[in-house]
Amino acid sequence: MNILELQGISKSFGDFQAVRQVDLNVPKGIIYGLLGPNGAGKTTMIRMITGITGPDEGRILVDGAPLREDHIRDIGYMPEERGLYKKMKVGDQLIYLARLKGMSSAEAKAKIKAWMERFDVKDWWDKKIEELSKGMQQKVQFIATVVHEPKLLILDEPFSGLDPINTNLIKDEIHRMNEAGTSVIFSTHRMEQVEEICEQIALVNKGKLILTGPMQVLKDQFKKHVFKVGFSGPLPESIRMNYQIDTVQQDWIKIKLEPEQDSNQLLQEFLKQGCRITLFQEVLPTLNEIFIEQVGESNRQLIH
Amino acid sequence: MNVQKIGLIVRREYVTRVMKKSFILMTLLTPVLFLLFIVIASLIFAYEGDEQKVIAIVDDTDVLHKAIPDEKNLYFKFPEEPLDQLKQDVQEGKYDGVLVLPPIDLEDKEYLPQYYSDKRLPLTLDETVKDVVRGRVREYKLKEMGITEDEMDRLNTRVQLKPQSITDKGENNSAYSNIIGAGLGYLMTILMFMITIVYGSFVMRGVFEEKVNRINELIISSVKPMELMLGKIIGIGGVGLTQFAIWAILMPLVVMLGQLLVPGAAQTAPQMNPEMMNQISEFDLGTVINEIANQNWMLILPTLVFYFIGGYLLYASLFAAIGSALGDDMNEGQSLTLPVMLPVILSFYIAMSILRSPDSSLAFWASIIPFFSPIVMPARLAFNPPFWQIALSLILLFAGVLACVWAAARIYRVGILMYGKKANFKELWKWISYRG
Repeated sequence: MNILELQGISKSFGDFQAVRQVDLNVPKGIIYGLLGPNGAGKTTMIRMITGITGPDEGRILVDGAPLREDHIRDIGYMPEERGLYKKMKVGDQLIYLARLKGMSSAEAKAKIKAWMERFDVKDWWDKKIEELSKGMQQKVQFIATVVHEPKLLILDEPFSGLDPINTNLIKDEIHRMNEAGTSVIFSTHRMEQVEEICEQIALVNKGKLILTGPMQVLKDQFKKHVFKVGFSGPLPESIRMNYQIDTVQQDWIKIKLEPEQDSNQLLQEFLKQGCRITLFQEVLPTLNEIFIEQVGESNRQLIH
Repeated sequence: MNVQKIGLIVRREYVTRVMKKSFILMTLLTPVLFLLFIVIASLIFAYEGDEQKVIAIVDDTDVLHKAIPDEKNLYFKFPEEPLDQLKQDVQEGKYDGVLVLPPIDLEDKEYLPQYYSDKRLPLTLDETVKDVVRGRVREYKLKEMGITEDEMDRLNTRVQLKPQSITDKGENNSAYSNIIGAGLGYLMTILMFMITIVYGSFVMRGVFEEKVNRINELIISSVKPMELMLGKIIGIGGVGLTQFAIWAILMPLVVMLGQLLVPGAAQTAPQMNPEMMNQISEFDLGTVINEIANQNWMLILPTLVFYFIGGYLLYASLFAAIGSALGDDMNEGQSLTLPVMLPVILSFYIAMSILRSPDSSLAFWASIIPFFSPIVMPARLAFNPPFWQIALSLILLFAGVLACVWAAARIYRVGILMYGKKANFKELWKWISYRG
């Protein structure tokens, strides 16, 4: 079952095609990464999912049903451009935002109090936003995003501008909510932030989807068959002769295997030469490497 | 559209503004400042200067009979010394000047007394001296010509046109209708003008602040841009009504208080031309009250409410669109606000000019065309314009409101999510045409 499905979504602004024919399935209960460089169309896609703009073509299904107005309650959205009413008090503001999502006043108040207690900020209720530090405002912003207990949480560049403490705090909360059944979509151009969090990703460039799939499958698909071998002693001559050496260091070496070569044979070769092995590991590409390679590839295709 | 959510937005817009210290201060201070203005203005008008002047009069033909009452700050003496001696006395400071009265020639319409001094008389004293002399010359001439004061009085005839309707449809006016109509029209126009400009720019500022605070995207993921815009416009409209209601109660109190503090303040404060003053001083209060009560209020009041709603919605939506198109610097927005301000200011001037001829063709066209009608038509209402004109004007106005709200909402939904530079009109036009 998918919490979100995009079917053939396109969107243009005048002559500019921001999103072209995107199909995307986000399984329920997953942490999903929507990745792409700046200007790839991520924010436009998210704005269509949150109902801010409508697609020119295609369909959006939330929890199996076409996007309706009451889906607003099911979605929690933290935009990249963040902000709150500076002159409004924290409590009033959070109640207002929660009620716009469709919560009752009493329900909103109880939930907000619980969240403020969680974040250890319950005495902020009557403070104006402008009196809070940047980090404090970020906590309030996060509460505003999740207070109505959405089924689908969409975070656009969530960690930009966050201090390390808040980054960890919010990562923890996201994991906790995910374990409780909330599906999460991360949108970012910072790969290293997503690598440890996301189970599946979609890679977008120039409005087009270039790649989707589970993180492990993708890494497997794009691996370069490079192995890192740690050993003591001199590098055996036979290895130098028969294998393509990528990097040499004092006590380890990176070797790229040809299609007909096998990692077990490589290890045996080392053992046969009497080397003491301290490390034997396949080097998988980082998301960043896949990203750069794929974006470069798709840019080339778009030019030709 | 979700009425409940619009309600929430209206409430926030209304409550946050009405609870602001600056709003409460502004609302309460304005009548106080007004009171202060009345008091100070009337004190200034009442102030005639405290310069005391003593004037020696040489009156060889005895025009003044040696007797002339001293005016305030002005004393007249009839010394026996010759003119040269008197000039000397002026230089020594005994007198401020010497007034030499020549013999009166009955045939001559001019009378030219000489005033000897190195300092000119202040304007008000100059007038006083002239008045006194003019009166005496007139008395002298009347006596010489053998005309009594009574006969002279009968020559002055007051003429006033008394309108009499021929058919029932004719306008049933008293002699004062035009002036009262103009007064009421003037008040209504000023009211509409203020409402559009002041609360219209409140809307613009509100939209702009939301944009600068970067909260729009969060809100727009919960409500439609149209709902946010309408909620804001209605909420601020409510703030305006509240403010006017408070002023409507406080202002009469303030005026009464002002009259207690400075008797006659209300008469002196407004600067009017003498002709109008004359007409007004000839008013008898009963007729005026009667005339105001006789106005077709059953038609004027509801119509005025419609023009208020229509005019406010039309301009506030345009101001909202402009606010959404502003960049991060509000001061850059002059070029965008000007095209919206221009029709407001223009219609104010049109309204002022048609108060004199409320049935002219300029009056007709300006009160029919939507952008002008909310300010121009209220100026005409007290002159009983034909009903079909009011109806047509209102229908066109609300058609205009729909069109403006629609176009403004389309600009607004794009504009509030654009950051950085302000947009130009070409871009606004493009935004209107964007789909979905």
